[in-house]
Amino acid sequence: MNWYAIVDVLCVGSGAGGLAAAITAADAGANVLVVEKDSKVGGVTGISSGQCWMGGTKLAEKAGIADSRAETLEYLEHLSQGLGDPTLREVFVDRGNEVIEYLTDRIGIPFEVVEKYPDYYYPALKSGKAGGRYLEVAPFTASNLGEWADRCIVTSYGHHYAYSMSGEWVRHQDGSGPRIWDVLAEHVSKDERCAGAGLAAWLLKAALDRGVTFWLETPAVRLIVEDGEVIGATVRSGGVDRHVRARRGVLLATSGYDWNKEMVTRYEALPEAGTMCPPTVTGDHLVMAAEVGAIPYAARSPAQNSVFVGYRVPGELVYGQPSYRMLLPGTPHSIIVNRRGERFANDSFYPDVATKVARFDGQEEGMPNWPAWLVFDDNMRERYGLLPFFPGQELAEGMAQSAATLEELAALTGIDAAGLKATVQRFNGHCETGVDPDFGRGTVPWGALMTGDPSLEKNPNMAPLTKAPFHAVKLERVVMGTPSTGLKVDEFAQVINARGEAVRGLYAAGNAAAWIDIGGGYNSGISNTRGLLQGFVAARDMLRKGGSPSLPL
Amino acid sequence: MLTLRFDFRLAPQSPATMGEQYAAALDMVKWGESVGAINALFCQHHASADGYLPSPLLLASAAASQTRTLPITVGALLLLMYDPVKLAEDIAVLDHLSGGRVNYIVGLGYRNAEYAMFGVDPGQRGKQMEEYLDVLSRALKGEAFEWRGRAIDVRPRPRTANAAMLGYGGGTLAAARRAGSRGMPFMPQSADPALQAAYDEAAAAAGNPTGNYRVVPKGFPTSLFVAEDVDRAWDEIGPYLLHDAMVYSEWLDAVGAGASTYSGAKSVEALRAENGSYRIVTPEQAVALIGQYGFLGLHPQCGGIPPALAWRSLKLIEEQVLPAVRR
Repeated sequence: MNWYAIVDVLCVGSGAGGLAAAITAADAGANVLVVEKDSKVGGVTGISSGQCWMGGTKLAEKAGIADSRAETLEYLEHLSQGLGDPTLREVFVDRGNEVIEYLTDRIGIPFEVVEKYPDYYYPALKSGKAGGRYLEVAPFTASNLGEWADRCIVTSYGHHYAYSMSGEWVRHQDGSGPRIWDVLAEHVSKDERCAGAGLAAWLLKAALDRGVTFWLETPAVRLIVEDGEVIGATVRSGGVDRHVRARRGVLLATSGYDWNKEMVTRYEALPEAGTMCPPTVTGDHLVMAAEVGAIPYAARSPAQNSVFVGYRVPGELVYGQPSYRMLLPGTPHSIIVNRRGERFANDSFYPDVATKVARFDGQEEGMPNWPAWLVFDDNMRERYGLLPFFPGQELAEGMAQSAATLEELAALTGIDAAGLKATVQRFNGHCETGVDPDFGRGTVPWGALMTGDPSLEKNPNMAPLTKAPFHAVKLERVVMGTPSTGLKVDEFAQVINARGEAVRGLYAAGNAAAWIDIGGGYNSGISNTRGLLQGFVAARDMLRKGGSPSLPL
Repeated sequence: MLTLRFDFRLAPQSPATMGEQYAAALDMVKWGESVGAINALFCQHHASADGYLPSPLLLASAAASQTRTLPITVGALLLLMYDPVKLAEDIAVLDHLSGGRVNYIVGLGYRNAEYAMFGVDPGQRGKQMEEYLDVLSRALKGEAFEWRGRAIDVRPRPRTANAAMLGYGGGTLAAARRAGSRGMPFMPQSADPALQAAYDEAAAAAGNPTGNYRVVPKGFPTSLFVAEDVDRAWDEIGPYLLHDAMVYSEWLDAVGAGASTYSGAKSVEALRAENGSYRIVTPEQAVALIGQYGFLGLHPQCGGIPPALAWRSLKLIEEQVLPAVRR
């Protein structure tokens, strides 16, 4: 083989998984190359909220938050719904804590607890917590990356995703801190990256400081195998294929397959879906690993909550393509309805909406809640807006259908008029008491925090639809690099082939790996944590297979 | 998992004889293979009062005969102290004898006493190294050629093709460039990124693979011992470790080579306080070090530690460290 480069560890992809592996290996002296298909480092982690979910951390303990390993495992076991592997779940909790401590204490990445940020299923589950399990990094001043600042990803969807922290949102909502818009403006003016952009920047800085090499716009196209062991990969730079020897192993950390339409349709059971991920996310890991005998494993039912709902913004191009945006529902003066004009979920809590739009009815041989629409009045547009449009701004033409009356809106959209009218009337009635006996709107603390208006005294998520014109935005399914299907890995993040054997030299991390640890379930922040910990354990396992005497003087 | 290093320094206070040390080292190499060690390294220096090993190929040969699979390294192989043609013959023979298990990290050396003993002109050593590397690698590639008016044809040809058993080591930019431009694996003496960059630049310019180096990270304990009672172990073996550290620092100071992974300590207490290359840890700490670095760097007879004391650490590793880590 004509090697172009020889390294100890080759990471394919530069999100949490690729970067955590790179840092861990380089910190132990390994020679690490990260190849990234995109022109920027950071991957899906870099465009995410940057939240890392983990229970029972030392950081939470220091913040005086009571939590335990047992409660964390119990919470995750519930999320798993019988589809998760208990051993891998323990690995998630134990080594997840280990990697957070490693990155914080040894590498110097300033993780902190997002206080008062509840779990999805608090208080629905006894093991859920009102706060303390979300971690995020302190803002990163981009100039500290030097020339790499421009090569580290910042979301293309607007500053609010990259220049404010989850903790700042909590303090905005509960009134204990400054308004989020002021905070955001200040972070932008100083180029202080927060959320996923901040996490990617901290990780990139740590990797660069340890001598990790990055090749951008360089996809891996094929694994190189010798006697059943992955010993390197062919990567493509500027149209030229180059063979890279990886002495200790190759890590696939290429996220999901959002831009591979066939995979999305088949694995997620979705005829149509948009994504906010970069177009580089095309399931390359599944293709490459298939050639060494690994098959895709589905870790959850497609009906579970990590396929989001969202909408299109006509005229908005992101990545040079018509954009999709995810929707966190629950803004006052809005509801979500099906074609019969009926509400069908707690439409202030996206996991409930996301699962119920996917409901399949055996009698009708169809989906009663799909298509679905976000229906709102002009109060919502004026007071809260709908991204990318801020409060008071007009929506893009074609984004919503609008009409002076609900009947006309129904006619325009094809929603049943009588049903819609009755639903709005009933919902508006509930708004008077602030109690939604139908779906419990506003009762989930996570949803109230995300989209509620705390100034509404009775229910932060409930205000009536009264002010014309009325608007309806047709919902879309939006995947977010959080796939149902991936490569099966063991507790060392080694890829397991179709025969159940570990493929020597091959590892997968983050969303490239099937979520077999937690099975079906999802709580935001789990994906980033999983990426960090699988990258970490993969690197540690690769180190075991290397080592070299030091040259004496 | 484990690397083993042997240089056979024998501090004056050691009760062991050199014969006992050589014999024990061969037992340790056998032990190393049985517990899954990844490498045994034999070092080379000359004219050292404490008997530092001058003939590493002999020990490598003996070690190869005691083992079946263990990779063996000679490093640094101080090439200028040999006739490169005779050395090529020895390497070729040992290549067959060992089943291709012995590799070499060629180094330039730095001690004037050694250069003087072998008639090397220190002012010309870089030039001579280039010449000797050419001769050694051509000879090991099986070429017949002429050198200094001598017709060279090394037989048997080695089992290993392309002189792939040769690597290069050193701590200077010149060393990194020499290795890179020749496409030799490089072992930098320190984890200085500038050395890696120099290697990559020279390798790329010559069309060789970049990145072909093995770096031992800053802070990695290169002479590690495991003990249940760390204080007692420092009392027992600390003086040997200090001997090793002090002779190295004396050698380095003599040539003004400052950058060193080795210690400037002048007492056992100071050496221990450094918590640097020389370290004695508990079995639990050793397990954590394997987790962090993937392997432990052992130097069982460092400074002339007698066999009984040296085995104490090795047995503890076998009984309490290795069972706790993934193999």
